[in-house]
Amino acid sequence: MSDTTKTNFLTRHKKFFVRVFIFYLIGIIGGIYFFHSPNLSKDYLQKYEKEHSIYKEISRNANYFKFLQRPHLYKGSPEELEKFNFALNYEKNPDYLREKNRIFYYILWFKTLDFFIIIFMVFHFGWQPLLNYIHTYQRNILNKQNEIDNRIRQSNEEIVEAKNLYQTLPTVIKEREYYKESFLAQRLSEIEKQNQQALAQIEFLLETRKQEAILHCINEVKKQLINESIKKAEEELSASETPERLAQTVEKFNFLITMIS
Amino acid sequence: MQTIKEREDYFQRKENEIEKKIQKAKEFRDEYKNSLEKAQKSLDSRIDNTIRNAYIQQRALIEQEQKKAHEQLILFRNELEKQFCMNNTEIQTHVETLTEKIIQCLIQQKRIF
Repeated sequence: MSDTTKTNFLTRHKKFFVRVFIFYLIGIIGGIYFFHSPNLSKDYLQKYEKEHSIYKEISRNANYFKFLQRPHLYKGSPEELEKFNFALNYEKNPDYLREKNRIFYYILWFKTLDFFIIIFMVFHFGWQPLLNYIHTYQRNILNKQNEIDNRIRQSNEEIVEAKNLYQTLPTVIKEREYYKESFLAQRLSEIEKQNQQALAQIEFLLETRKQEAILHCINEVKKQLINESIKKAEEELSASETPERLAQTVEKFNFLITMIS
Repeated sequence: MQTIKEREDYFQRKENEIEKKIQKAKEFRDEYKNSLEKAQKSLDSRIDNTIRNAYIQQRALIEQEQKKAHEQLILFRNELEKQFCMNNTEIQTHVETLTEKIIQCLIQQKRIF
């Protein structure tokens, strides 16, 4: 504990310490006033000093307590028995009993005083921490109770939320089905469009091929006609022409063929 | 709650209740998720199959149409060959006319084509 803390502690509890000190002082004074001291008084010792010293010596002997417990059964020497009887009679002396009672009450008084002082100290310094501890203990219990209540509420909300979510499952599935069906319809429509385009292309290709075939036939006929005509012309010209003219005609014919080709 | 044990038992009981509820909520959520995934998979599978079938049909249709067009073309060519096939007598008249023109051209040096 540091000096500052000690000073603060003493300052805070100054009144209490003063009160306790006064109370303890009054108690001490009262105890001394009523019961004097824990020892035998001077008057008594002056009167019974010798007997008391003998008694003290006898009472130190362990056999004396055996004698006190069962005097009629104790077997000892006559001197010893005489001593023990002396001590027994001394203890029954009214003055000794008065002194013994006074010492007993003295000790009882101071023990009681110390007990109360300790009780005061304990209550003063221990009561508030005890209350704090009890308060904290109760607060912890209440906090735990509150926490449990909150968690119960949260779990209830969670389960209700989960149930509600689960109940929306058919609706969500239907929505997804709807979206997927629309997607499927769109894709099927695209495929149908592709089909139409493919059919149109096939039709177009067929028509083109037909036109090509017609042109091919026409060209074939033309070629046949030309071939036949040229063949016949050659025959006619070879029969009617002279070699010189034929050579000229062949030249022209070659030119003609070149032109035709 | 008169004793500490009773209080502890009470808190323990409440904790167990909370755990059960949380577990139940988790089960609901898992069930929801699994059902949704299952439905989604089934839906996707059905749509994929439908689209695949549509493409298969498209391919079959195109093949059928191509085959039909090919057959039509063959028929058309046959018809054309029949139509454009001339016999010698029919072509001879045209050949004679053309021969005369060729000869005239050769004599006059004119182009006929």
